[in-house]
Amino acid sequence: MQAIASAFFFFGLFWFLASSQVLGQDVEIRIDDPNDQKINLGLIEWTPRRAQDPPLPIEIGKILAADLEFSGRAKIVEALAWGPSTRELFLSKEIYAFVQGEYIYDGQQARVKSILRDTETGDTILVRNYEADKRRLRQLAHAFADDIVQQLFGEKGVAQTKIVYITRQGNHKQVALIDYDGANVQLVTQGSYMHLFPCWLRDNQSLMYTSYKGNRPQLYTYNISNRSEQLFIESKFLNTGCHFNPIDGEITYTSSVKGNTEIFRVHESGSQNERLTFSRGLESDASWSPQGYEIVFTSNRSGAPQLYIMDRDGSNIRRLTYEGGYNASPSWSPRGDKIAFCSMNERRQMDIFTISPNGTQLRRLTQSSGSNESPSFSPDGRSLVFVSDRAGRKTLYRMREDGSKQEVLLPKGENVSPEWSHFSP
Amino acid sequence: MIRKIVLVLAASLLWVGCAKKPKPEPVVEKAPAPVVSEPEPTPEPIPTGPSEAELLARRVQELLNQLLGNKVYFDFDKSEIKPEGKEILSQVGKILMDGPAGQSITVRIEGHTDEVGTDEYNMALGERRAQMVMQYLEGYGVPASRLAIVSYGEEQPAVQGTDPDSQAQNRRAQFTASARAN
Repeated sequence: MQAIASAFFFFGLFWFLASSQVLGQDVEIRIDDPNDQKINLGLIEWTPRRAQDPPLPIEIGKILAADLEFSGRAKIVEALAWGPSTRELFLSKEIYAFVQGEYIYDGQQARVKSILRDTETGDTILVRNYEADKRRLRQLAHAFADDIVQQLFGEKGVAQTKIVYITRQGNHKQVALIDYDGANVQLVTQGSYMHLFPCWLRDNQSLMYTSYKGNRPQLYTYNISNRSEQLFIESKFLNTGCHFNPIDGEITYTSSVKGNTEIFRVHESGSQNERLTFSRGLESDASWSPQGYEIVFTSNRSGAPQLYIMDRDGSNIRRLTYEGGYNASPSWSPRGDKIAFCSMNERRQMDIFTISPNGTQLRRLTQSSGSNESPSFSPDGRSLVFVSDRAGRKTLYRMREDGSKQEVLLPKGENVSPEWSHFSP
Repeated sequence: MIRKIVLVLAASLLWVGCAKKPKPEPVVEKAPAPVVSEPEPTPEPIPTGPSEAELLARRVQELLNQLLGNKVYFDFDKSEIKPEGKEILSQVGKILMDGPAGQSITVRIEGHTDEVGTDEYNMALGERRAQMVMQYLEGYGVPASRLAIVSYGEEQPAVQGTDPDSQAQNRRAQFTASARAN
């Protein structure tokens, strides 16, 4: 048993896991580089328990497959049905585990059983029973994808996360939400005024954004579940560009002091407002480090916009970027190891780069594909959502953290300022 | 100038007066109407010259329109006011200091950028541009209480287009003005 397990270890991760399940251990396998070897995973589309039941309105397996492929962790091979020949096929392709499921209708509800199995033995590695309204089956597929990622990799998946962004509706710009895969567009704000720069708050259920509702840009909070909007801080001055830190929920934002913008920090309740920067230059776009100790921001104190890092109290300011004459819009990876930002190229268009917080490992992620802006990391740090006008109008795209797999997320409309949510609670 | 306005006013009032004359009704034999107490038609006021207040209001409107035609342009990623901008702001300052008419105007200075660069930084830059304009007008003597600033960043371009000329037209500060009630 031991010998076989070690022989199969590199190729047969699933087999290994199945064995571990038998021993009742939790397995944590961390794959830090998305270019690392992927796991092959078999897929058999969910089938009705009663032959007469109609097909589900969506194909759960397809959504699950897209989730797992996007995670960069799995390569999916689909088969039509389970049987001895499928087992041989899967094993010959080094597919040591597969997913399948069944469903039964119960009025408007669908009861769905989803199973991850060991190919060789047929043992159940993971089983989940979900019940959902027929219209919410996508969520169910996403939930199973995250369960699989958690089970096999010991990491949280992002399949249930959302992205908040700004969409043009006629002459106005409104806040909207989508699922991380571009499905399920949900308009948040209305009204005949402009909304800009949305961000998530710590509870993952509330947003903050800039609105011109009062004729000047001010920060508002918005509770998604009860749809209530509230002015965050009463001010005569420009208040914009918020970002919260996931540890204590404190918020950085940009406010003007006599027409000169500075970075402020405030408790999520709106109390303990504190000014952090005191420069004659413009400061904007603050982004927290994942542990909330440091803040990266844009400042033109050197004469042109560059990135700087400071401690959470505004002390210990050090310049991060030196290459290029215009660097802005930083987003700190939730893994902490890199900061994405955009830099102006020779055609006065923006491209997205990453750099480590100590200023090394500068890496270009976009090139020769229009203007690329507003990067925001997924909560697992493996992907980025960003804005590009490569196909004409500005809209949302996504890519891996190394710049690979760039693809459009929202083909329709004009969409900007995306921010990826925290993990779903 | 004022005389011209008064002339134009007088002419327009004359025209209004003519327009209000009742048309001659066709003569139709009517049976005597039953006596119904009708309210006496109020006599129309005889047109006289415009009142002081009307003149002032017209002057304010004219100054507002002049004001809204002024734009101050900036270099890329800059908020310093160029010599042409200073000339324009001197004119704006004159308008705002022009007797009781100009002084009843309050102004909101809008700062705008072109679409080059990032959205949030441009919001900060637009704020700075508006502030630089406000400082200049304050230096001209316009009290800060009559001035306000707002940044629109790159959100409201004056012209569509990504060519250098369009961008130059979009890097601007402009004015929205209103007359104070008193």
